Amino acid sequence: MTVNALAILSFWLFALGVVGVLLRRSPLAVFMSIELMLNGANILLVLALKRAGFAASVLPGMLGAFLVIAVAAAEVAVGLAIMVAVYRYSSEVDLDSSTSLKG
Amino acid sequence: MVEGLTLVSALAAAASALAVIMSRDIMRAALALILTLLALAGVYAGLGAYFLAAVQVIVYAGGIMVLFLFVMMVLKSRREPVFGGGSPRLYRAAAWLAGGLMLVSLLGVWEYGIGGKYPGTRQAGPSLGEIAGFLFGEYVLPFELVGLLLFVTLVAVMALARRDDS
Repeated sequence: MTVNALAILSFWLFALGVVGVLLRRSPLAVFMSIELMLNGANILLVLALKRAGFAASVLPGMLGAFLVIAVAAAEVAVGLAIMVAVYRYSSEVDLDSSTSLKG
Repeated sequence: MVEGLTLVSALAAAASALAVIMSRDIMRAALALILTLLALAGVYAGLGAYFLAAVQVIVYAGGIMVLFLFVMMVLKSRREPVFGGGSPRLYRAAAWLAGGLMLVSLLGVWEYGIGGKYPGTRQAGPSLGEIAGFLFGEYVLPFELVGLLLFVTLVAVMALARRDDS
């Protein structure tokens, strides 16, 4: 029962992340929604690989989640740097109004 | 007991994730996200993945959230309409997408379940030595690739954030 509840938590986080990415306008909020989605996926990864008989060891699941966390760190660093660069260029950060790619 | 604590952390994570999406003030959203990440670390610990719980606290709640808060201080606009400005079509699409996703996954859990009993913490936790052996043995290539990725990220962020004076 707990395992199923945790699976539902994972889907819940993912669905909330989708809603946030689609509807929020501040890029920071969009990034946070992406973090929510990644965390939802991580829970399911840990959960599925802890299931008896599914894998020989629980280690691959944990390491998968570990790699996801590392890649998320890299992604956030680059994304926030891009955001600062955009802010310096146009001094407003709104996803709907920053439409120009040309420098 | 541990199972109950795991469920409580799961509930806390679900509630604060909702706060991340709904709060108007971006700073509040960030604080709610920190709460979510810490609660998820509790869930991992409840599943016996202690190493992952520690990594979650250190990297996510420590490193990534500090980056978020730092950029929040650099950028000016903190307030925004919660779901400002989008077209009604977009709202409807988002609602259908998220609702459908939830529905499909709930049906899947209902029908098949992820699997049986709560695994508990006892049979679970691999020791740090095992994890290290795994990381530097069988999985050394992905590990080194992540190191390379982080290095490239470092260089890229410095190049992006540099003020172009010349």
